[in-house]
Amino acid sequence: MTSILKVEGLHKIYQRKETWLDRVFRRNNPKLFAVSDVSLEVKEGETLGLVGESGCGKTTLCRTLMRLYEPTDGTISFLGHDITHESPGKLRHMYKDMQMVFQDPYSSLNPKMTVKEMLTEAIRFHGICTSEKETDEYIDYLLVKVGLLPGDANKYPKAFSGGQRQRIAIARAIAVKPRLLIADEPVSALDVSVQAQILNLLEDLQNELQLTMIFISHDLSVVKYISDRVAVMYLGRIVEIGRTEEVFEQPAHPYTQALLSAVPRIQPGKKQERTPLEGDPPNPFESKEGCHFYARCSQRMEKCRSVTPDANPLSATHQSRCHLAVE
Amino acid sequence: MDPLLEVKDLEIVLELKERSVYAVNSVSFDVRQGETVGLVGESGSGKSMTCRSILNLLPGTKSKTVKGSVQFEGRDLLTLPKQEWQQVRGKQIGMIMQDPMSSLDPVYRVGDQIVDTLRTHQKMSKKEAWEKAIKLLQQVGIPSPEKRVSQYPHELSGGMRQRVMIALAISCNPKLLLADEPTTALDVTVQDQVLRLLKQLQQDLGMGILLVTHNLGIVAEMCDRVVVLYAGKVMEIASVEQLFAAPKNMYTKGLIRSVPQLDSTGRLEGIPGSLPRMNQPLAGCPFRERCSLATEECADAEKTRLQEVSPGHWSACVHHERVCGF
Repeated sequence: MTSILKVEGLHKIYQRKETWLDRVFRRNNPKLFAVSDVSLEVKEGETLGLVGESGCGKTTLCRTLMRLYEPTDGTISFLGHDITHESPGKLRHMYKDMQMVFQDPYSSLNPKMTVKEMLTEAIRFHGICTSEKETDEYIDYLLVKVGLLPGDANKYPKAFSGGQRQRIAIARAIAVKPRLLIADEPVSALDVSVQAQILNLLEDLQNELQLTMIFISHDLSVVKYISDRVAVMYLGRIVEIGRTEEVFEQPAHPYTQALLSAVPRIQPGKKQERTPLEGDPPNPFESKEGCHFYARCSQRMEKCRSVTPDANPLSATHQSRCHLAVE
Repeated sequence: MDPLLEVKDLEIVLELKERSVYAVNSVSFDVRQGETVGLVGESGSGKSMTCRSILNLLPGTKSKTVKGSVQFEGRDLLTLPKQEWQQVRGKQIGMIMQDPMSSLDPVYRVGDQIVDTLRTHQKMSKKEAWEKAIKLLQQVGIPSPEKRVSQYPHELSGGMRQRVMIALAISCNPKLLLADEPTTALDVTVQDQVLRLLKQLQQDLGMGILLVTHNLGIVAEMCDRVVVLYAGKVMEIASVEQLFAAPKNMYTKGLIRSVPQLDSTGRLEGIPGSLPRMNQPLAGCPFRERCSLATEECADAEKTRLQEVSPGHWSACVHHERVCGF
């Protein structure tokens, strides 16, 4: 399998612009470390799940991959090209191969455009279809593919429910036949019965169109269901990455272990061993040396406070950013 | 044992500008002392409406009709005069709202808000109440409560704020606690902490809890009995073991099957279709359009009434015998 996306040492740091007040009071402008030192590789045809709690940087990471945000440091290469500093004009053409589905289907669709207008725009720009007739047929085909009716093309988004809107967003993303689909929490705004429909749709489309997918979610069970590989993020860093069964069955990082044990399960009576996690996630404004999880970790050592752990390999596919993984 | 809270034939209709919404249709259930009852359903199923109507907290701007009865310790809350609400709300029934960011007053210190509640319901000096507030914060597991008590809500994290909400709700030792999606706005690790806290407090104080949630995992871990709502109608009432082992309603079954689980593999089933529009009075089973067992009988209001199918297990499904094998 060839690699489709490769990220090395990616950093995204936010900082407010310095104002005259800052100069007068000699204030230091605080930096927010949203993504720190992320390296990963996505292979063709696989689904990489990105999981973490709110504020851990998963959305920032994927928006930076799309170049919707400018990376502070590091390189992103997509299909063999370095796109870290690609110009906006070239990026527009690159988006033919890289598409995104957003979290909130209520705000990601333009309320003043019909479904057809939305889809046509993308199809025309990237030259998927040439004639009007061909475009119409292709739109009908797309709508049926995502489980809507061909007659829905002339309706506005307000006529659809949340699940149907998410289907439209998916149709829009796959309309240009992308190689990579980035789905940012596509099901967290939906009810469980509808969530299952959308998950199944994404899975079917992936098999059919040989899509590569980066799937972001805060819900561990959803990520487990859809992913081949999983990356767990905590405070801007990927703390563990590996094949789904490796991460879920032999979690190596204490954070992954705690996260897994915190998920409520549908097995009344059968209570499992808990690794309770105390405290709240720390402040992303201070980048500390050492392990970001130090303050909440149950197995912390003196070393963890000062030495930042590397991504230590546990197997060929499984890595954990924890000093314990070395021993 | 007499139930602590008994909701009977509750009906709520909201009159909007151009249409009416039949939000809750003939909902009946009860909560006994010291027990946790889960009210579970998807968005729009009327679970929050039911919960809020118990404390007469329904949005007041829209015209609405509320029928039925809500008995709490021999009093009907729906017809309670205004003066007597003080005795109930916040004192005998506490409530935790979904969003801890918007349900605390941002311009008062956390301690002042707790003191306010305490002094409204109990004879206490300001100093006593302040001491009690610190104790309460300690009880809900807030570290260094002496410091936190004089902070403002914006200085606390989401989990902390929800703990403050819980401290407020239990400040007068209520007999019943209404928790409306108490952990939906929180991350899983914090959710776990808050749920464990609620369980601990229930053991210490012996209160009944009505837990409104859409998360079946939380139901399985927290509740003794479960009420499943769909489109404003009670589909099933059962103990938590009965519900997950042998659901007697196709909706419950579909719901359980749609949830991806950590312990299982295999394809999710999902439920085709989406919620019905609730702009006319309910006739028959609201789930029949999405149900694979549906027959003509399902449109019959009499036959789709909630009935006891085995001891303590109630289902509103005509075909409840066939659900299990399906």
